[in-house]
Parts: sequence; C-alpha cells; structure tokens
Amino acid sequence: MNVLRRAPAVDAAEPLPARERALAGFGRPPWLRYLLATAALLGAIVLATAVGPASIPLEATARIVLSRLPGVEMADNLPALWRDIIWEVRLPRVLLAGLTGAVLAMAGATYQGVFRNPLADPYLIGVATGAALGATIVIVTDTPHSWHGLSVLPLAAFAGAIISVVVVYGVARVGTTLPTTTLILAGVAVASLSTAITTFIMLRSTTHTLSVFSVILGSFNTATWGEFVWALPYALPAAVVILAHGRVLNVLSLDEVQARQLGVDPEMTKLLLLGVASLATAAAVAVAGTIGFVGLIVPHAVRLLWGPDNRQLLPMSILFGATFLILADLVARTVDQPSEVPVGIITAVCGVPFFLYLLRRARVGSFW
Amino acid sequence: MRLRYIGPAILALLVIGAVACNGVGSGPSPTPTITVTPTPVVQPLATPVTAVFDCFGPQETTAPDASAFPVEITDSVGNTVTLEAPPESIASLSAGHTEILYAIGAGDQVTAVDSTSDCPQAVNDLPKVDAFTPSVEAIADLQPDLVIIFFDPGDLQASLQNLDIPVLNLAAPASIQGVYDQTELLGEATGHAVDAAGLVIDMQAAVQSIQSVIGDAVAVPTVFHELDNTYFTAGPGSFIADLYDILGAQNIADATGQPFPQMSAEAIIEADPEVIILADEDAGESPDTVRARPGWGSVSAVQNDRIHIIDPDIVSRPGPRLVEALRTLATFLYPERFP
Repeated sequence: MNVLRRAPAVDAAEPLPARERALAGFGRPPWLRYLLATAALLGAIVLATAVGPASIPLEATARIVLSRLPGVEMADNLPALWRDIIWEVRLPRVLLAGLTGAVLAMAGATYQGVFRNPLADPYLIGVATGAALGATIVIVTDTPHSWHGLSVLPLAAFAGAIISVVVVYGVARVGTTLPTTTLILAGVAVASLSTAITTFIMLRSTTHTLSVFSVILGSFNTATWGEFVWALPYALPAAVVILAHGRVLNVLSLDEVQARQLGVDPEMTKLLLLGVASLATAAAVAVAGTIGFVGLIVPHAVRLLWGPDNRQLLPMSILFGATFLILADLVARTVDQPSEVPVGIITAVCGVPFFLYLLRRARVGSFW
Repeated sequence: MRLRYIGPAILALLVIGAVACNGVGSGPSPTPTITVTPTPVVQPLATPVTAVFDCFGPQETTAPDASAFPVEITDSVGNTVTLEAPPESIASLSAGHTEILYAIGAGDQVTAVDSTSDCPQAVNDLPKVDAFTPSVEAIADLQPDLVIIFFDPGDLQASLQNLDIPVLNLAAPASIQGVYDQTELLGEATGHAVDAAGLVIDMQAAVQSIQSVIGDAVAVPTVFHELDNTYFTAGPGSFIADLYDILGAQNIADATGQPFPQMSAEAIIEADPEVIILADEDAGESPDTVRARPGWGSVSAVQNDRIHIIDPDIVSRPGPRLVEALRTLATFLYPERFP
C-alpha cells in the first residue's frame, strides 16, 4: 500500500483533463517513475521475504538467502527448519505472488485495451470459472493428484481455462472477425455455465468444499519453486508480446477503421493479444487460484495516475500488479497469523478503498 | 471408501472366531499362535477392548419405552418440540446422529437418512435425502414423525413444522461432552433413555481406560491434524481438537484460536509437529506426499516417520465412534503405550 501511496503525482494535477495530462508527459521524466516502481517492487520482495508468521531474525533470513549464491555459505549453523521455511516456503511464495500479480494486471490492461471497455478484467472471457471447474473436477473425483511427478490440479485448472477460452472464441467468431460484444456475451454465458456446474459439484461433494473454496478464493499457501518455474514460460513470452504491442493498442483504441488505415490488422492483433493474455492468465490461475480485483484495479490505478498511454500503462501495470499482490499476500499470511486469510479478500479490502479514493480524486470526468 | 473397512472387519472376525474356537476348545486345536497378516495401520477393532459401536456388526434394537411420553425436548437453537409418543419413523439428516440412534437401539425407528449417513450398514437400505440442499417436499413425502437435522440451510425447520412435522436441530457437538449430552437427549426423544445412559457410561468408561493407559506420559506430543492439502486444520472449538485435548496432545492449531483455520505452511513447519495426522487421504495425500513437500523435510514428524492416515469419518463425526477415534489417535500419539 505504502508503495502505491508514494505516487503523489496527482497532487500536481492542475485542472487538466486526465488524457491531456498524460499526453503532455505530465511533469516528471518517465524513466523516474519506472525507477520508482521497480524500487517499490524490489522493496516489496525484500519486505515480504523478511516478514512472516515464522519469527526468523532478519539477519538469519539475509544469510539464508545469500548462501544460495554460488560459493557463499553463511547459514550452516542456522536451524534446518529456518532454511527450509525461507528458501522452500516463503521465497517461492513471494515470487509466485509477484508473478501472478504481474500477469493479472498485464492481462487486465490488455483486455481493457482490446475490448475498449473499462469493465474488462482477465476473467472476462471465462478463464477463471473454467479453471475453477477443471480444478473442482480433479478435487472431487478421486484421481491421483500427481501424474509423472507433476501436480494434476494446476494442469486441470489450466486445461479448464483454455477449454473455456477456446469455446468462447469459437462461439464469438464471425467469419474472420471477432466482434467484441459477442465475445463478452459469450464469455459471460460460458462463465455462468461453468460456475453453475462448479457449484453443483461442490454441493454434491461436501467433504471437498474447503479445497474447492481454496481454488476459488485463491491462495499462495502451497506455493513452490516448481509452480513458479512452471508458470514462468507462459508469463514471460506473453509479457514480451504484449509489451511490444503498446503502440498498436493505442491505435486500436481509436477505432477499427482508423486502425486499419494506420496499417494495423485489428483482427489479427486482437487474436494474438487476447490469446497470449489468456494463456498467461490461465497459467497464473492454475497455480494461484482465481484472485479477483488485481486485474481490474491495477491498470485503472495506473491509468488514473499516469494516463491511458498503453506504452507506459502495460509496463507500469506489470510492476504495480506484482508489488500489489506481494504486499496483499504479505497481509494475508501475517494479519491473523498463524492462520491464513484468503488473499482475494485482502486484495478487495485493501485495494478497493484505495481505488475508490483515486476515482474520487480524478473527479475531472472520464479518465478512460 | 467402503473398501477401507473390509480389512479391519475381516481381521476382527478372524480374531473373534479364533478366540471363540479356543474358548470352546473343540477338536484338535491348531497352533495357539494366531497369525494375522500385518497391516500398516494399527487396527483398533482388534484390540482387547470391545468397540462401543461397530458399523459392521449386527445392530441391536430395543422397543422404545412409551411410558416416558409425552416428552418435551429443547434443541440447540432453543426450539422446543413436544412428542406425544415414541417416534416411529425418524428421518436423520446427519451422519453422526444416525450412528447415535442406532447405538442406543433406536435403529428400527429410523426410516430415512441423509446421503452422508453410511454407518451402520443397515442404513444403506433406507431412502436417502440430501442434508445440504434439502427438499422440504422430499422429506415430507417420507412422512416422518421426527426429523433430526444438524444445520438449517434456510427455513427447513419452519417449513417442516408448518406441515406438523417436529424437527430437532442439533448442531454438531464440538466436544465429547456434547456427544454425551446429545446421546441422552436423543435417548429421551426416542424412548431409549436407559439405553442412552448405558451408552454414555460405556463411552466414558472406554475413554477413561484410554486415558489411564496414557497416564502421565512425560512427553506431550505436538500434532498437526490435516483436513485438506491446503492446510485447513482443526483448532479450538472443534470436536477434533477436543479429541486431542482428551489425549493430552498439543495441537499446533491451538495458536490460531479458530475451530477450522487454514494455517500458513511456514507456521506449521516452524511449530515442528512431532506427529502429523492426515484426514485427507481421499484427496490423494499420504505420508509419501507429505515427505515430498518442499520445505517439510526437517519437520520432526517427517524425520521420525510419524505421519499417519486416519479415516475422516471417525474423527470428524461426533458420535459413538469417538471411542474408536480416540483409540486410533492414541496409538499414533503414544505408540510406546499402545503397542
């Protein structure tokens, strides 16, 4: 939170409309805000690694992490439990939260740009509900939960998400075009169907309710390096593709006819961007569950602070999404320790008031 | 699910059969040693103390005592029900209460159960209704003269009482004392007050005998009871936690102060439980999967191979099988006292 509050840039907000403000470059040089956002992310990683329900001294934590550097051994006299907690439990959890937050915020910004709709979030076309359905089926059927050493649960969630997106695309396609209204409607309809089935299965199998809830509310409590490494190959290429399309998204935001005149193929771009964003979201949901609000709120917060230019909106959303979810997860595991609070509740409770505050400050009309 | 019981059942039959043969002493007696195939889990049914309640044995039923009626019963939500005569067609929408009813000899009066009731075997022949999304119409159609529920998802109690069907809402007890109390209450409600009192005395005696074997064990084992593989567990205010209290074990979830908390992975590892009890075998968890979890390698229970699987139905269902639950847990917690 403190990181987000650090952006007092709006204080300087003269009565200029948001869009003009952004286009005017708005005061500070842009590299400064990237520097600050990166510093905030690194700060969040350090803070979240240092603090947790297990009371391990800061100096011990630092020694455990540094000992992982080749040729450095400073932790050999520390308890093995501490080393396991920091290296095998806490650090992968922090990094997985960061990766998930980055992916969700990036996908949210992409969806909002492609759909030209401020209500779009990464779950708009059924990724989350599809993943929840896939996971629920594995949870309630007594399938062995690992397969060739891989955990089946994230794979099933991933498959559910991808199937859901493919169905929505298939329904919404008209010839070679992808009308966004049809896409949204198909997404909402497919999501309702999967939710209905998930709820029904959950009611039929009351012994598994807790596990299904964990998936639906999202949690990093069982994060491992394996999950982080598994999700990375989806997140990184998606980030590269999406970041490379910042300018194209700006053009798309005008109008499809104008976009075509400017040499952008709207259909291909839509397909590509939604495809990679959905793939990355599916991977994030598979390892973290369906965490709400991040994908919707973070891009809007960035937009409110620095304007709608996708060339800065996309990278800033990635940095802020990661920072936000790392801090939210830090609250989730410490506020009621040694119990967990579902991280989705924290993102809503901490994120929404801040977002409403931003909305209130940007009273100058539409920021969109 | 049910396959799991076959092993212990066969074992129990073997032991009983062998003991019976020896007792009668008929024919050329075989070698006195009874060889029993070793099973990975200590079988409580094979221990000398007889089980108070057995899902697989024949269920004795007794005629209800009509002289005590009419009776007034007040349930957990403060609702008072007057029964003019012993109920003859009870719908039990709670697996634990079904077991209590059979254990006090009221089995013949049970005519319908909910879909989670699977013990004793006799209930498999009864019509089943859903306790979590109950249909008033389906329940009324069974024409029960008493309905027992453990939670009311909406207006179930009111709706049934509008149809003149008495309903007792008995919240799942959070302690073994609660099980004793509800056993006596159900005894009164069904005309089996004497049987119920007897059952409570039997349960108390069995619990005391387990406690006396534990005695003043010097080392109090710390334990983590895993309900699912995202580390939901049972803490203060839950029936499961009461079982550990009675056994003198230290439940690491006590620190949470909540009945069903989700504990942080690192908090569990830091608490370093000496024993881990898995009630989530259905979800694919086993001692091997726990050992394979990153970061769990130096936990005492993993190092000393003290991870055990327990049937969730006997530990989480407050009913007469609490004796079996306590005995099983005691063998896990104090293996040197329960060889």
